[in-house]
Amino acid sequence: MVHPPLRPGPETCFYSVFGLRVRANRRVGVFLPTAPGQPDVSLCLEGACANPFNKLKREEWHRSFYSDESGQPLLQVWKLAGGEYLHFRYYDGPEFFVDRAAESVWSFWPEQVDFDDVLTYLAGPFFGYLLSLRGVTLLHASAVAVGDRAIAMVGPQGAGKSTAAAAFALANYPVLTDDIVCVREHHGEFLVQPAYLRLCLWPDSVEALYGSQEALPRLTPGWEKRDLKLDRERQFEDRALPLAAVYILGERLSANPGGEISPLPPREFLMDLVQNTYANHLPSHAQAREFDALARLVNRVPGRRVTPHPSCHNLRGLCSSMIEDLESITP
Amino acid sequence: MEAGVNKLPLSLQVTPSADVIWRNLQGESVLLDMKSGVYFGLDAVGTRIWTLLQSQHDLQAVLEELLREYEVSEEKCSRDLVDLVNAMAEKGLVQTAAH
Repeated sequence: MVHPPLRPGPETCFYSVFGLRVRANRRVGVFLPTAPGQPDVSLCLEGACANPFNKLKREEWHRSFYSDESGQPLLQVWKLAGGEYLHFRYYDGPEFFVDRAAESVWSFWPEQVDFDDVLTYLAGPFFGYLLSLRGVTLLHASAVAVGDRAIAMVGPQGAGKSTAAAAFALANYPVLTDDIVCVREHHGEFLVQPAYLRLCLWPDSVEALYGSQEALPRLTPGWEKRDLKLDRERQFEDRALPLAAVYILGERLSANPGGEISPLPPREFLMDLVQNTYANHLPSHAQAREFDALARLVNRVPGRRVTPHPSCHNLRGLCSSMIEDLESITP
Repeated sequence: MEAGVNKLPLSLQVTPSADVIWRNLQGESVLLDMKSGVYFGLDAVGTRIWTLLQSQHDLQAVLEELLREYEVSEEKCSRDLVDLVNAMAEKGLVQTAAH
């Protein structure tokens, strides 16, 4: 059995990401630094080094429905050595290998790929897969802190989760997480875990928030999305907070500048949540576990359907509406 | 009992699939077929029918119980019951067999 070593890198750094202590062998600027200690996850960020995993027997486990222009799937995943490792390969070069326990991660990427490109996956969909492998319940959502409570904004790609989170941040409601909400049950509450020190925004969202698409730099030269670095003191919440309400972002059809918010009956709420979980190709036992957790969440946390106004220039009104709604439904 | 406009006659045994798990949410429910990964929502009456089918597989007996519990004509109740069982059978949530 191959046990690729975790080679030391330029630094040994410790971070807190979704409630996990992560040890990395180089700096990861968007992760929240934390004190050294026994890691939950070890990250070996190797770059363009020899890859010992290539010798292992493999079988394809998943390939994404979408492909690039050459027909290569955007993501392929293989089981290696009978399931001892999983190999994630993204179409533009970055690769991740994770052990069965989801405690050790190795990443390799070609020389022509920048670490910032790798980071769009590491602090993005790959970390979502890692959390799923660890059995954590995830929502495709963003979350912000309102006092000592969290609210989550759920919706598919393009629903406005990140934009709304940015609007909250600019209104001094700190962001817990963007795109992935990780909830852990603790004494009957669902705690939302803090994640990355940034938001990723499309240019039109940046224009709506700042007046110009160029107000924020690109995440990487080859991608349109912009990088909003969150001010750690004012715009980022580093505590895990109890989830007080979930707002399902619907189509932008409201004539009301602040949007419309209505209660969600539990059945509809759960059906919406199961369609907006983060990694949808789970094995059946994992899907059952996730279903159970979401059913418990629905029975304890209020759900709301949000119909925003079509104009993204009414974000402040939308945020105010959600805050008012939260104050009306929770003590 | 005739089939009427729907495919399934009431003289059927209907058994929920062993691959289906479900959760009751304040009187309504959501089902998950673990084999297909498909979710299916049931309103309050659908939940009651699903609950009855857990222990009573005779569709005629389920109809009779519903008629005892709800103020509804036998024709409407029968039609709604068969429609629901049809829809669930098409999605593999139940198996049906002749009596």
